[in-house]
Amino acid sequence: MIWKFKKYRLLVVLVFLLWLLLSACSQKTLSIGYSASLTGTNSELGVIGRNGLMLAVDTVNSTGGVNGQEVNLIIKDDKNNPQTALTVDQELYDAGVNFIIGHMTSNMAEHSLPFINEHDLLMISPTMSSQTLSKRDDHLLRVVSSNEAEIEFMAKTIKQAGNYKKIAIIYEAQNEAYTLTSKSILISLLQENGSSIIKDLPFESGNNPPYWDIANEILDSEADCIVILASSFDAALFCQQFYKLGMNKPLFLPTWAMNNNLIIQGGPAVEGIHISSLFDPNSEDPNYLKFKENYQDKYGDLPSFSAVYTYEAAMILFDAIETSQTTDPAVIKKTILDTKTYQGLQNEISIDRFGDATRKIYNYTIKNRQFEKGDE
Amino acid sequence: MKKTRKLKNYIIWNSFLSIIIPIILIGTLTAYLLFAFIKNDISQKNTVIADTISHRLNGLVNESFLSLYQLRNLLETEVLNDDFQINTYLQTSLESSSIIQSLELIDETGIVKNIAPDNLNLLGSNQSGQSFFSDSQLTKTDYTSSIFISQRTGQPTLALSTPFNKGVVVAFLDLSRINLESLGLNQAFGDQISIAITDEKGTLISHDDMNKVYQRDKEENFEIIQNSNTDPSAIFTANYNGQTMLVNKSSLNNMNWFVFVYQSYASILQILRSILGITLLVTLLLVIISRVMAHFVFRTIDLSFSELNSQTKDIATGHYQLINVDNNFAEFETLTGNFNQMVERIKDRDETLQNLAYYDLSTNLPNDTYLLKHLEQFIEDDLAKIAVICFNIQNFKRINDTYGPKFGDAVLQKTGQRILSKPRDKAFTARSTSSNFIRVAYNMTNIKSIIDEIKDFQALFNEAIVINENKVYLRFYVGLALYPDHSLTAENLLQYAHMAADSAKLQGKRKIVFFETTMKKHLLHNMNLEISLQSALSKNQLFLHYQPQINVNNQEIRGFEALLRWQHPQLGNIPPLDFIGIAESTGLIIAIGEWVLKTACQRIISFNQTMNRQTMISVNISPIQMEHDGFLQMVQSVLEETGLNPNLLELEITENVLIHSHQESLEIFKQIKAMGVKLSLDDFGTGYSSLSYLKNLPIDTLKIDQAFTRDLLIKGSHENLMESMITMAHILKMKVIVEGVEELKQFDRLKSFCCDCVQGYYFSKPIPESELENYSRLNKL
Repeated sequence: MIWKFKKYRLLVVLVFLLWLLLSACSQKTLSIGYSASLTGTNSELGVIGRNGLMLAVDTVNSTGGVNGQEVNLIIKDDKNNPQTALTVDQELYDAGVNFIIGHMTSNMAEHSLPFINEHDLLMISPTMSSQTLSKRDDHLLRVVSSNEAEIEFMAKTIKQAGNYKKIAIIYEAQNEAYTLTSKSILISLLQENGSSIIKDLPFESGNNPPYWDIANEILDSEADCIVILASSFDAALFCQQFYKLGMNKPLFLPTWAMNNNLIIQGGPAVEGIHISSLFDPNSEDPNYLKFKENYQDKYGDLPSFSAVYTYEAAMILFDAIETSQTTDPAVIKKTILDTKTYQGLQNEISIDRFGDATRKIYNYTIKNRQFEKGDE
Repeated sequence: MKKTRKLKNYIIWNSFLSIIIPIILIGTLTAYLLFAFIKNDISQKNTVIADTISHRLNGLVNESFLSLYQLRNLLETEVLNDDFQINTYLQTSLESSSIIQSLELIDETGIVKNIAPDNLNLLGSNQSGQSFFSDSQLTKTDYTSSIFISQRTGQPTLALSTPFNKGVVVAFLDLSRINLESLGLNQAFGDQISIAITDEKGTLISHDDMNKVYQRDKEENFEIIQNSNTDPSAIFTANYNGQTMLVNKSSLNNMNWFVFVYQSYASILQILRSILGITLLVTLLLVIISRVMAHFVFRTIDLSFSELNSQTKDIATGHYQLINVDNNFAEFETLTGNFNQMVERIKDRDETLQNLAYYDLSTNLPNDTYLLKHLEQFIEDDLAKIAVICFNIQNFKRINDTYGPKFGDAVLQKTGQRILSKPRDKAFTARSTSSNFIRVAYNMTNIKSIIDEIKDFQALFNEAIVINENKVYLRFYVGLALYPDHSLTAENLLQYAHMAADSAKLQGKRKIVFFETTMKKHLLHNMNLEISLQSALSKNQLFLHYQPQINVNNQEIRGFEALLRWQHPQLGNIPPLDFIGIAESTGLIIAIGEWVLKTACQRIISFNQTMNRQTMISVNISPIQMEHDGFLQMVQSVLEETGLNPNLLELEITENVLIHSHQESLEIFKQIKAMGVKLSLDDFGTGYSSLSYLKNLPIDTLKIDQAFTRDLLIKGSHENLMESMITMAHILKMKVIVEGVEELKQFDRLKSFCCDCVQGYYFSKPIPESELENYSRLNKL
């Protein structure tokens, strides 16, 4: 008997090794897509979001993946162009992707969302906050609040800051799904407060926009304060123009513009500006602190809200897949909606039956080149 | 069943394997070593490339810094002292630089004072938040930034800055130009490598895919490579998009930039593929050469094998010839020698067996088997005419009887020697039965040649055979049958020759008897008789006649001799001479003899009772009966069953009884006598019995053959002979019965010789059993 075992021992070992090899070869991966603007002046949101997402993927893969499946991240650059967004989503679909984290700006939903719905994919957007996307039973879930809440918060901040009556608005026209709705909401709210929009100036990012001219136009107006609905890149440059003009009127920015580049590129020009922030850079939450540490280690920079939100979007997706033990987008969507609340890195995320999230909003300003939380 | 394989295939396969296995082993080892060598070689080459690119980049960066230093010097020496001069200089410097896309002069407060190319948005902006200003201003040293989005272009860029006495001068690098520089080097080193340049955080500064740069991608395995690669010469492999790559890294002097050179494993395999292709080609050639060589090697062996096979095949079919194979291999020589020894032994054995099977040991002549086989062959070859001549030694029985069996054997041996001395030209002689020799002569042209053949044979025995000073002259009865005249089969020819010889013997003449159809008929007749005789007893076809034996003195009936008769339903009465021999040869004589004895005994009892007489009954006994084990018991049983007084029974025997074993016969005679039964010796004078043994026989009655009676009155010498025999019998205390008395004169003469009894037609022919009493009464005997 021993002899026989010895005789066949090599064969048994070989068969076992072959089985291991085949098992290893046959191990499936879970591919998820990431679509965002990664190049150009509006790419900070997408690039930083990508960094956050990669941290999430690294984290989950280091602990054995999702349901034993390694997560494979496929990154696509939508170039902040709705048509390109559709193209890259199609590419992701063709690559067998069921889940897309993205897009990052609301205007991408124009062509992308119908495609996602049509092909039963599930998109979880970290930062598309346009109110126009709310209350739809579609294949888009969001971990970011609707811009309605953000703008309401901004309106309240403006009121608290000085009850300004003449307000100028500069907005990025390409991301109109966000900026136009935000502007509309803001106008509506401000008008309720007896304020009025005396300047309403659009610009297109990345196309050598006339920052100087717009700034001068604002200067010439009698605006009490200025709202800039733009990314950090554009916002910093507008602030620089106001700085050069020696204008010290209050400036109000959305979360979109809130990242370190705003401080770096804005310098003294962004001191004192008001930001309606969807995240808390000064959070002491251990989860966030850990995340921040990892992010800094990996990227040498502080994370912004898009990094946090993208990380959270990915973690919600992974959690739902593990919970439901499936990769059926419909089931995953239902699981997330049924779960309703998730603990984010900084605060609780509530997701309603339409997949719209409610997040806490913070009042931030920049003082001494630091984000500083103001009164809530 | 043991599986066999062809030697040719075995040799070819082994030669094939003896080449292919070492080649595979060497090939595998070589491929492994080659792979390691190529990998190492590529790594070294790529390290050189990485170092070269690093060096080149260093040059470009230093060149840019030099531009900044020159600007700084001009500013600090106030060579450039107004905005126009400065702007002109900046524009000039920009145009002369290959990688600087923008130059700025920032005052100590961070305000952009001068800028090239012109940029209204940035001119006058406050850059104090930017590291390229604050770090340089603070440390008063040169500064190189990480990658960031340029406010000037909206694309990623790197900033180089150096402080001067009134602020900082900054150069922004065009990453696409850096990429072009590395691409140029890349193309110079072939398209099998790809190159990436990163900043200190691993963010790509340059890459084959510039989108990665614009997207501020990190080098995918930056941390792993940084953490693991402590030895610059170490060969590092990493996975990029599912493809394993060799990675070599080089650092830029004084800057935390890194150059990565990648080359896929596939390119190594591509190099190996061509080498393996050549190896495979060589292998194929070697295999073909080995196949051809094996073919030639085997052909030499195969020639020896084929010859050996061919010759051994002959041996296998029974042609035991010595093998003579011309080959170059000692092993084959040994094998051939062994085969030849085996062949010699087989031939010897077969010769012995053939002698035993085909030759007669007494005469050394061919035997019946040989005879039949060769005769059949001659017939098959149609060697007509074929004469089958049977030579039967005359009176051989007498010679045996006279000189004894050993003498007879010696005669046969001498006979064989004489026959063998005759040349075997178109003829041979075999010994058939004891005294029969068959000579088969073929291609006989006419009867004369056959007669000559016979005469030649007989001439061999013109001289006497001398054994122990006894001379014997051999003469032969000669019978012959011819092919194809008399028969087409060997068996028939032999049979017919024997029949012809028997016929010659019967005729008692020294002449040559040719087979005739009548002989065949006679033979058929005998065969019919033999078949009929099987059932004759049960069908009551056998019956007895009785011939009276008359006392000479009173002419009264002494007794009767029972004589067997056969009434065949188709053939009528069959003479005893015609069927007694058949009965003896078939063994039927045992049953018939018992029936005769029993019937005769019963009849004489009936006769004696009817006639109130003590008449004797004589019954002939065959030598075959005497030899039978149950003979005495049978006689005893018949006597007991019939109740006949043994003294009234006389068994008649012939001298033939004594031929086989004189001593055994004597013993039987004594036991018969002990029963009270009398014995008579029948046909005395026709055999070869000598008086010497006659005197020792317990014979009561001597029956003198009728041949003597026939001649009794013809010659005086015959009378003397008769008288002498009667006298001699009387001297030996025997009664004498003379057979064949047919005339009164004969009777009277015998009476004068004091003969005791006579038997013959003068008194009565044999009569049916129903007439015994009437005969006795009518003749008042």
